[in-house]
Amino acid sequence: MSKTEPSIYGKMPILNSATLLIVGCHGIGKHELAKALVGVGTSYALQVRTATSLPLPENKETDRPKIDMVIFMIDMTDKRSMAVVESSLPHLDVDYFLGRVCFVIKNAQGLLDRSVEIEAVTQLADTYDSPLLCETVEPGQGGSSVAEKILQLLAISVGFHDHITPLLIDVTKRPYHTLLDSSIAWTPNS
Amino acid sequence: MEYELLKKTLVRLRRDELEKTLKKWSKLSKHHPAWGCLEGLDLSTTKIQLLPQLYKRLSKIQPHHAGELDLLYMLQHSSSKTWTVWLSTELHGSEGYAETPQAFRRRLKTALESYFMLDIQVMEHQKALWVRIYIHEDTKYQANNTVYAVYYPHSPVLILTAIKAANREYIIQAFSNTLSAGELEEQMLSGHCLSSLAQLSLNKYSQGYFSHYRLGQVDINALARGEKRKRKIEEEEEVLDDRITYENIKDKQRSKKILQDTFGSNEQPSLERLEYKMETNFRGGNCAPHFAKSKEPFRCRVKFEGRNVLEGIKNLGKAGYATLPLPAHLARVPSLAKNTIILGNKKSKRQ
Repeated sequence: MSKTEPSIYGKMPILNSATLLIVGCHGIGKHELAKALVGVGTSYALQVRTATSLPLPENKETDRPKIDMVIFMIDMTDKRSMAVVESSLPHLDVDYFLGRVCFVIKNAQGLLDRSVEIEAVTQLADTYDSPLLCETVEPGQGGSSVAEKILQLLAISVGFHDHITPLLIDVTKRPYHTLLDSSIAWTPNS
Repeated sequence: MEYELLKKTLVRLRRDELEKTLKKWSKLSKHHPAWGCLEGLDLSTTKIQLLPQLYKRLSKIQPHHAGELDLLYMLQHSSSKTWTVWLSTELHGSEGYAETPQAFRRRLKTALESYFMLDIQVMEHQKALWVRIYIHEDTKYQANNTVYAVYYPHSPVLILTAIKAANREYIIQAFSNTLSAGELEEQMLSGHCLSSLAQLSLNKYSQGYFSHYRLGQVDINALARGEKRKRKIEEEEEVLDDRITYENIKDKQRSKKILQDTFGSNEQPSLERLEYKMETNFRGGNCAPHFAKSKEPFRCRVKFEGRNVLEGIKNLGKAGYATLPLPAHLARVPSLAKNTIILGNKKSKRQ
C-alpha cells in the first residue's frame, strides 16, 4: 500500500459511526446529496466529506477519520465531471472496490443535453464492479430515495449488519454488460 | 405633429407612472398650466382617450411640450435605447463644463439653429444633464430624428443615442462647441444600461477591487455594528452542518481570494455584450500549415452576450469552469471601459 492511496484498513474505525466521501466536480450537487443523506436520520453518527477530486490533500490526513465508502458523482450533461471521475479512480486503493464504492449519475433523463454516453458509464460500473444509482433532478422528492439506498450500502460496508459483507453484495450483483464475464465463465464440469 | 408624439408617449408610459409623469410635466414651464388644471383627469380610461381630455384642458400644446413629456419618459426608460459613449480629447478628469440646464439649452440651440429647425429640451436628472434634440424634417413625426444625450458635468464623458448619418457631424460639432470640449471621439463602449456605461467610463480607474475604496467600504468604523454583522451572517451560511466537511477547502478559498482581488465584492456594472475582434495572423500552424503561410490577417470574432457579461465571467470563475487566475484579457475588462476590443498583430521593432 503506497502512501498516495490511503487504504481502508489503515485507520481504526470509530464506534457506532460511519464516514462517507463524495467525489465530484465543482457545482455538481455534492452538498445537496450530503444534506439529503444527513437528513435521513440514522441510529449511528454519520459524517459526510466532499471533495472535488482524488487524491485528497495530504496535509489533513491525520485529522481525517476512516472513510467507509466513496461515492463518485457524474453529471450526464457535463463531460468534465466524467473526466474528473476517471482521473480520480486510479488514486483509490483496490480494497475500496470490493463493495465500498458507488457511482451516482445525475440528469440521466434528458436525451438532448446528454454529453456523456450511457455506455461509457455502464462500462465504468462494470470495470470497477460497483453499483450505479440514478439521481433524479428534483432533490425534494427523488433525492431521498438515492440517499436511503446509499445509506443501506453504507451500513453494510461498515459492518452494522451481521452476516452480510460488502463482498457478498458485490458478488451477487449482475453486471451491465455480460460480455465482460465471458472470460471468467463458470461451467459445471470444470 | 405634437398630437402623434403625445399619443405615442402616453401609450408607452406605464399606468403606474402615468400620474407622476403628468404631474412633473405640468410643473415644467411657467407658461404651462399648473396641475390644478389637469387634476380632474379620468385616469381609468384608456390612454388614447386621455388625449382629447388633455387638449380640452390645456390652452395650447406645442411641439416642445410634447418633447418634454418624451424626455421625461426617457429619463425613466433609458434602457430602451442603445447608448454610445463619447469622450472629449481636451477635457481630462474633472475639468468639464457645468452650467444651468436653461443656459446650456440656449447655447446648444444657437449652435444648431442655423442648420436645422429643431426642438431642444434639457433637464437635470441624477447629477447629469439630459438633452433631447429633435430635428424637424417633415410635418410628420419621425422617431429616428430624435437624439438623446446625457452629459455628466465636470467630466469628459458624453453619452449619445444613435444619430442619423446626415446630421451626425453637425450635432457632434455643436456639442463640442457648447462644451468647449475640443474633439469628441466615439469610444468602443455601448449598451443599453446607461448607468453602467457611465460608471465604466467615469470610474475607469477604480473598478474591480478598487471600487471598495471609491465606495468607502474599506475602513469599517470599530463602533459600527451593522456592516460587521452582515458579513458574519454571509460567512455562516456557507458552513452547513457539522457533519458535512469540505476537503478541498483550500482551493475554494484560493479561488475566492483571486476573484475578490480581480472583481471586488460589489456588483459589476452590466454590459450586455463583449466582443473581441481579432485581426492577427493565423496561429496554429501545426494544425493547418496552409493557413500559417499566408501573411494576411485571419479575421475572427468572439462574442459574449447576456444580461450581465461581467457578472457572468465572475461566476465562471466561481463555478470552476474557468481556470484561475483569469487570463488578462478577461480579468481587465472592467478597467478597460471598452465593449469591443480589437486585437492586432504585434508590431515588430524592425517595422
